[in-house]
Amino acid sequence: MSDKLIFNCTHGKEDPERATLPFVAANIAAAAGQEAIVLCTIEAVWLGTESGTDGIAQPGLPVLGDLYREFIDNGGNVWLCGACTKPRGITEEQLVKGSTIVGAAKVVEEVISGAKTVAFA
Amino acid sequence: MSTETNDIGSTPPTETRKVGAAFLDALAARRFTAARSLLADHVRFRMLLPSGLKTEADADATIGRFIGWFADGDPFEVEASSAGEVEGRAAVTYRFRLHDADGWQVIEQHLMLDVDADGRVKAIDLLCSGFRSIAMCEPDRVHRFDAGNLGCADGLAGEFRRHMQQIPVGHVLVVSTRDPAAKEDLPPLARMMGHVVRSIEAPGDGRLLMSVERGR
Repeated sequence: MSDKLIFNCTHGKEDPERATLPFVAANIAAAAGQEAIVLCTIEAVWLGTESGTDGIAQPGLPVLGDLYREFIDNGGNVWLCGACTKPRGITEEQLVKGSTIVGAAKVVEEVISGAKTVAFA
Repeated sequence: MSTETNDIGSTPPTETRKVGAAFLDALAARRFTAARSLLADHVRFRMLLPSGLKTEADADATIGRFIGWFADGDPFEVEASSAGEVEGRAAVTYRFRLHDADGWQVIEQHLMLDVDADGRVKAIDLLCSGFRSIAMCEPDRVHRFDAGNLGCADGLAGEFRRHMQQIPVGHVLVVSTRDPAAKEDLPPLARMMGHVVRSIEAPGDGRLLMSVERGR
């Protein structure tokens, strides 16, 4: 049985609010002792790379780089969609602490095992 | 054989590291005379084996240990190896897979070596896994599939399923992949398809090797 909470993030620099909100929610879960994961797809996969969160700051929300580090420090993990990193040329060497490239099967197995997903479109 | 160096920093290879790498090459090729020539006559050899701490105090007895462990394996394969240096001490690691009277086995050893001014090994500290039986690894029950860089959007699941369906239930498929997502995906794929993941190894060359027993 999986107790994971998976928050989907689909945006990067092009939409700071949509990029940041899943991390806000996931960080609350992590801070509360829950096993929280941000699943980054599409442009959000850049957020797990070196300098990927640089300059992303939506007024009224935490600076994403700071939030990312706090989330990881709270025990959170970031999964980057492998089908999204590959066409963008993102390799394991470019990843920052806390981020891992994963495939769909890993997510599917977690959901089958009971993980709950939260979508941020 | 895949020998990689893993020095910290970017200084040129030192004599210490070269001696360590040469000792590794000789062992991996089972050229025991060449390995013996790299040892000081009164090399101090300490071994932490599954049976306990053992020591030898000269080169012939030391090389005799390696001959006793590795000379009879047939076939004898190098699964992974590395030679590096930790500030003046050579660090050598290898994993050998071999077949002998006890069947297929794998063994991993980690060595720290001290090299004297003449370029000979004067001391070895060795940590040994022991010979570990590979129950499912009889050659006619093991099949291989190199998934290369296939990822989850490139048909990995379909190809993996096709290869599993081609082997009998109870046989093992050793899948090799370099794709980062596939490394995370193959174990859950195998489990969801009803197979048993026997082992997952990262030989250190960017690949992931996963042994999967067909379950149904």
